[in-house]
Amino acid sequence: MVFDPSTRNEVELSSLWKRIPGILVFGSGSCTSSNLFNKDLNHLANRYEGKASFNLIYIREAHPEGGFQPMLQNDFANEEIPPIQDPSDLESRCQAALDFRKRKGLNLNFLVDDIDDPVAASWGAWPTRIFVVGSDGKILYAGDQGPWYFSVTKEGWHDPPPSFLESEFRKRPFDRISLEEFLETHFSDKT
Amino acid sequence: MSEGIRIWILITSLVCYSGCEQKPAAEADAFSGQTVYNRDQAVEIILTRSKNAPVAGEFALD
Repeated sequence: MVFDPSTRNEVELSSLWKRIPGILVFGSGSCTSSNLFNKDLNHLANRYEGKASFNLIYIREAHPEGGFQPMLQNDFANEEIPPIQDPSDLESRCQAALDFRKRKGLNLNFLVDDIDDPVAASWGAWPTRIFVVGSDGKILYAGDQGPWYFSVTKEGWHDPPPSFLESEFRKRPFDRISLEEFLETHFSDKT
Repeated sequence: MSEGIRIWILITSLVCYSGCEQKPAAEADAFSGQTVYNRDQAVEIILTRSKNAPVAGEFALD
């Protein structure tokens, strides 16, 4: 169960892939990956309009004010992100989601995880991750762990994870191709 | 039914019930609802949850 940030109404997650396959991009306003790929996500959403629904599930902040702030070495990650407080209730998380959508101009369907993170926990989605679910409810694409393998386009941006993390991730068969490559292989675009 | 068997059934039932009651708590995500303050906490959350993340071919969680 997730929430519509505008109405605060509950939304069944399964409604996102009921008619056509659903793309679930998990992220937050303080997440570098989510900020970097807004234009690419918009581009893919336009390109595959009517073929799949594009949804951003707003989850716990990756790097809230006063929280974990990694030193990103990659110039590509040099993105201006305003300080964001970690929401303490559903209301403030909904507002954070609406602020992020407005700031980045994303034309994705926005939904919000509850404040105790049930969806992010069960999908292993924090801090960021991508899934594609078929209209039969089966997962078609389970992107590997973000931020290291969060790949919207063919050009990755993040350094590989430390080896002890890498060996853990290899125990599960997650997908390492980008969302763009997956869509090109499995879906015809509208052109 | 003898008194001894009745007591045995009662004790067995209580043990089974309390065991079932404890299961959800043991499976709860200790990090849910928590702000992430440092790298160690971030890594622990990722490692814990990544093991449970669904993979292609599985049915999606609602």
